[in-house]
Amino acid sequence: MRDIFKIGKYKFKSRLIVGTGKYKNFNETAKAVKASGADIVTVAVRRVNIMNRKEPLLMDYINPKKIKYLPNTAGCFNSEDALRVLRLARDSGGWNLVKLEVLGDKETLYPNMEETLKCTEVLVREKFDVMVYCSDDPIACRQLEELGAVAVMPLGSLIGSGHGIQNKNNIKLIKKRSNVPVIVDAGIGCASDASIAMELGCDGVLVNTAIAKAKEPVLMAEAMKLSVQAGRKSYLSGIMQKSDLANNSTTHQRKIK
Amino acid sequence: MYIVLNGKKFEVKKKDTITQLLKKIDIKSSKVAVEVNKIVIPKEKYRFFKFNNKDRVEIVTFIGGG
Repeated sequence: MRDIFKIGKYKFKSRLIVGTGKYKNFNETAKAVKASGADIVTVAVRRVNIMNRKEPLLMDYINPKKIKYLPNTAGCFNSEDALRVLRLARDSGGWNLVKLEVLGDKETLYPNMEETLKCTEVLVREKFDVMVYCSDDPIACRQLEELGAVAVMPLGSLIGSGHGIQNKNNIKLIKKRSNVPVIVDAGIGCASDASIAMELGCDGVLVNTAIAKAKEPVLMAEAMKLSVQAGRKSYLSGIMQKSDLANNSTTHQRKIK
Repeated sequence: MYIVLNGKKFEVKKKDTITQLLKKIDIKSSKVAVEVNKIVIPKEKYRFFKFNNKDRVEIVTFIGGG
């Protein structure tokens, strides 16, 4: 069955997007990304280390020609900083697909939706294809879509917390009311969390810490790949109705008496 | 004259271009983006862009991130 993952004008096979932060080294990052089967990886923009040019670069380990780099605005707490980072990112990679996140505070890393909305508007005007990290608020998601975001990325729970999807009803509601892909970003702690996101009908899942901070990141990356595939197939298969009482699986006909 | 490169003073010659700077610090233009005084300089202009004294220059690349 062909099940293409479309984000704006871009098409992907894998519905798992993988973050590249927090790994022991780039070698481990590259191995985990490979095992995850991801077509997209998120990356951050930082100053080149001028003093030590021997320091390895991410691009030496993950080829941006083979795997799409999705530049993010991690660490930006206002619209101005986020715009600056993404304008640089576009020039560095030459692509328009970016992940916007404007954070509200350091402790929760919860999105500042007022700044996020403001920034989305400018980025869309500048012809960026913007995927937006946001609160699991159906109204905020609708506003982002109306402004021209190519995907909305509500949090399942706080970034790096591993608490999974705290408000399944909201995620389901957001998916039901969205015409752009809904990708659960943040909070995934283990493979079953990713399956749940997909079974709720989400179009994709973004995972970083759950893979990078597992004892065996490469094994977890593979588990995430399989769980996203399983969750997607489960959703597409049309999940059965729940019942409060038992329904026997074996017929009572011709039972021995 | 000098520029402020990634937050630190860096000596350059008067007519140095971005291309020459990147060569000096040994980094390929394909792996970075360059901003001068908060304005992104497109790669095709690296050969022509000459620094002014005290320009604030940022050279960035992609690192791991979520």
